[in-house]
Amino acid sequence: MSRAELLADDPIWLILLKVLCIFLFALLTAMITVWAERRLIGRMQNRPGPNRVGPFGLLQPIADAIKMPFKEEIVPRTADKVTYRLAPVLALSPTMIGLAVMPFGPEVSIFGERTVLQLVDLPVGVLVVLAAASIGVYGVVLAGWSSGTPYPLLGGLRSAAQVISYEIAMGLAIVAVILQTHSLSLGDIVDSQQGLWFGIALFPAFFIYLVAMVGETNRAPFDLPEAESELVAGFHTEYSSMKFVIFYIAEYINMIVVSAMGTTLFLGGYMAPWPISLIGDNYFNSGWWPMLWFIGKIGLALFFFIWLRGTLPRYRYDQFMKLGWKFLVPISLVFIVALTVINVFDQLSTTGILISAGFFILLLIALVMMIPDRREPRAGRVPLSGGGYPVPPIDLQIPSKPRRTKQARSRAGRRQTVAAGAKEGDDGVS
Amino acid sequence: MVQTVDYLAIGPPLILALSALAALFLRHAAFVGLVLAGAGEVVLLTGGPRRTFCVDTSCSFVVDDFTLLLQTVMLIAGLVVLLMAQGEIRDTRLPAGEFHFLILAALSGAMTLAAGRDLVTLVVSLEVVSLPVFALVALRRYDGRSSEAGVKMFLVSVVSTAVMLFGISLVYGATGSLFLDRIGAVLATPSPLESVAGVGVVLVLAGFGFKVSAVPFHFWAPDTYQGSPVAVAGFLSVISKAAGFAGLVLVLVIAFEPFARVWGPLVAVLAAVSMTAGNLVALRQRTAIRLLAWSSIAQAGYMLAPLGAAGGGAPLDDLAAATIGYVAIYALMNIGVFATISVVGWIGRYGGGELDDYRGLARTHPLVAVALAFFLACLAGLPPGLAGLFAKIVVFQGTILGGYGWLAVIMAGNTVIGLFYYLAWATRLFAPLPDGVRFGRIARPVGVAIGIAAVGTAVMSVVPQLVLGISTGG
Amino acid sequence: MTAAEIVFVLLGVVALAAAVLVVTTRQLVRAALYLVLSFGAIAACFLVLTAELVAWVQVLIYVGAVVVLLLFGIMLTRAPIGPTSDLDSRNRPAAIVVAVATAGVLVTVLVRGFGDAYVDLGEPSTGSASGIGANIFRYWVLPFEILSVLLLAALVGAIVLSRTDIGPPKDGDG
Repeated sequence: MSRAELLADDPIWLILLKVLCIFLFALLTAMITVWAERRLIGRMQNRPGPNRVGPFGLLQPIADAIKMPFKEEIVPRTADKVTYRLAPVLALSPTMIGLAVMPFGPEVSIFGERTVLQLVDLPVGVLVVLAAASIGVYGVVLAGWSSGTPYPLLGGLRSAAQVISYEIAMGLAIVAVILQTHSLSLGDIVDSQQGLWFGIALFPAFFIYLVAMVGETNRAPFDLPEAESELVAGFHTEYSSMKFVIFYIAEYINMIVVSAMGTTLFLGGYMAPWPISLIGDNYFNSGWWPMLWFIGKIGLALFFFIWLRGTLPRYRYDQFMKLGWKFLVPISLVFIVALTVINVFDQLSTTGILISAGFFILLLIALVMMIPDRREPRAGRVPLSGGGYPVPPIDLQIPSKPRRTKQARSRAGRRQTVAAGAKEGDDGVS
Repeated sequence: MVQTVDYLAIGPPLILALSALAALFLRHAAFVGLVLAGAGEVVLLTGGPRRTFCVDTSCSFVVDDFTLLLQTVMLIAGLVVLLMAQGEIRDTRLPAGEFHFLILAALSGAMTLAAGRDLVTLVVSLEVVSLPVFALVALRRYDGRSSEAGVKMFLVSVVSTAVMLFGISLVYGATGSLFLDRIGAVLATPSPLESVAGVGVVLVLAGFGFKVSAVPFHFWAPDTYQGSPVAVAGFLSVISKAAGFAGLVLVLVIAFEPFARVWGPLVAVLAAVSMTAGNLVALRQRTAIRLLAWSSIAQAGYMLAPLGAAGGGAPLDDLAAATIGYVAIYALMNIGVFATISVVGWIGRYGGGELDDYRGLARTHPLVAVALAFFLACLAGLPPGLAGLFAKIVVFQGTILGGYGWLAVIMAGNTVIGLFYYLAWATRLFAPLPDGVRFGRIARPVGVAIGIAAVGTAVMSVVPQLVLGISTGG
Repeated sequence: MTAAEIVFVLLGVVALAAAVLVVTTRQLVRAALYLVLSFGAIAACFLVLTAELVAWVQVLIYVGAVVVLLLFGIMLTRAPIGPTSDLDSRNRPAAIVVAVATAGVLVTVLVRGFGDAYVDLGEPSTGSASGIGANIFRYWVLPFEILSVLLLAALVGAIVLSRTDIGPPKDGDG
């Protein structure tokens, strides 16, 4: 029986059980990730990290979970109340949808019922995950807007631009996988990685996915929506208590979802890794074993997230956008075209080969066009003044102190008078 | 099944699209592309009709006499538009590559439209004609009117597309097909879904009404023409309009033929109102570009008139031929007027200038003045502008053939009004030169543009049978 | 009525009500949110009609991209919290009359035309990804290719409009 058929005759108790398991899995993994992140980052920074609550600080997340809801809840007076309350829900709920279509394992038997370790296997599962991720951005944008204060608004705006930009790159990376599998169903995608994992076969796509998944989840080094040195805490500056917890958990579940997605698409999903898969006639690829591999791979991906955060400094916003639009998107487009040509090369007629050669030449031209004309001496640096960036001029020329006569003041332009006034104030303080 | 593609048939629009891409980077690629596309047209003219992208017997892309006529006219008009834009590109530092790209992209859409024979292709290529023009219209970023023009046109165009798409979805629901010929065949047999199809036809008609700026869907035109660069106004007035009429004729004559009694009277009313309102308002205009805007609304009325007579039971092919002949001739003479005012117009505030600014043009630039007078005479339908006269005669013939005497009478009255304002403008050219007025040197590209339009119109005056009598059937 | 029909009707009501709220609300950002709701309900309608691909693409593109961009635009310019008075104009009665008349005509025509038409949803192949893909790339290649020109033109047009180096002509006979 196929996956869809196995799933179709699930009794209702089994479906509910799966829902419960997925929910618990998401929450537990999120909590463990929070703990692991603090410990790992601590180790990377030569400090112990949380180590007071329980052995190795293991109970720290539970302590936090008890502490946070009891904190005072503050709602800004300027906030749009309804949207302010709606935003955390909008941030959390779509993340769970992504896990619903994720295949955790192959056919197993639960209390005598044959089924597949997956809640639903939609024929367009990949799209569902992408769509859920794109709905998640509403939580961030609306949280930023409804707070009614500037920093959250800026954070929300950044997040909207960021998620949309990186979703394009992510979608294009996924297209490469779909071109190989001819199916949008996540189950089929795992099945077609019996031989070589797509992470190796389609390495460029895998690489782009890795970068895009970090951008999509607003994590360091791409955590610009909540860049604490620029925006206090970004979109959730005004959130406290339980609502803050929801955002916090949503971020981690989101990480889990994109990790699971990456695992499914590129790392063979629930299949056992190579040397193990050879043992004993595929013994480790049957029964409940695959779930272990799947969760292990997700753990690896989560470790990758944490490792990145411990290693890389935050990107500047314009560099980040440039990376997305001018590097990731073109590279993935080129890769898709190349992949298509390779796939059909042996069926091509002469005309087809000529056409693909033409495409190749066009690509070359486009690539040549992308090389900048000549490197300007100041290229890549933030313009000190002017140029449209809201940056205060560092090379500010303070005009010489004008004489304190009415005549001189009336002669000086308005701007100069203001500057002079500031100067006088400085003098008074010093 | 894999559709076979006849690359020669889709050659001209394909070449245009590719050269548009090249024009982004290379200076003269746009002109090279236009010439190559023209060569493609010549090759196609020598052969018979070609059909490609077929499903069974219905084809999405057909190159016949109708297509070739419109495509050739559009190519010539496109060439003139590009040439006359050179002055403004240089003076206001418009990005030349992007300008050429957008014009060529829109042009390739227009050429595809003339060949499209299914509703999806028609709508998509109609959008390809419109969308680049939004950006072009709003290109004078230093002028607030330009942004306003862009927004106005964008909103109107988007609404009209939505209306048209809704109509198409109704027609598709009622007939189960998107190919024009199959729709025609299905509609010819009575069915309970006739009312649905009827509403769909009316909505599609309204959508096209916006595109060809017929009254009451015209209100965007004057402001948009005024705010956009003159060359773009020329594009809107000639190529967009020709594309709109191509689509309208194809849809009405091939697909909706059995419903002629539904849309015929509607089109007749649209035609009468358009020409009357357009001409009356044009009478009161002081600036050249607004006068042209209103007169082009009036001209849309003339073009609609033969189709309006379809309810009378006359053979549709003859009526469509009258409309298409008029569109072709109008395109050539009107683009000539735009080319002329693009050079003279710089004396006023950025666009076209006042009518009084044209006083004494003949004293310093006799050739340009004579050309402009010739184009205006053509638009009025007066000798020596024989091209316009022939076009008007054909349209009258079509209307009377359909038994719509009242429409012909209205048209005659309107022609007289038109004579008045076209001639009032033309006589100003030959007035004595006012003191202190100096007309600048005419840049060579613009001179060439005027020359091309003048030659084209003159040829039409001598051998109008080249474009008259060509219909969708041929 | 089957369960699917009831769900479909309910979703339709949600979509319609949300659409009405989009137009009537006086809060700019709320209008965008109601639009999301309306799009979402329509996507769910597609799901009921077994057109899975269309449904999720609707969510992905309209909910996930178009309205987010809309919100982005609103917030970049101005995103007032609380009602905005100039969201309504004096044309309100006229707009209501036109809208009701249009809706009346369309509903009457559609109900009369398709009132008792039933589509058998047993064969879900037409709404599936492979069905739609086969349709587009077998029968509608030409419009698909023309669309590429359209999208490129939109891209270039947007970039051109954001250029700031276009200036008025210098004085004199330019």
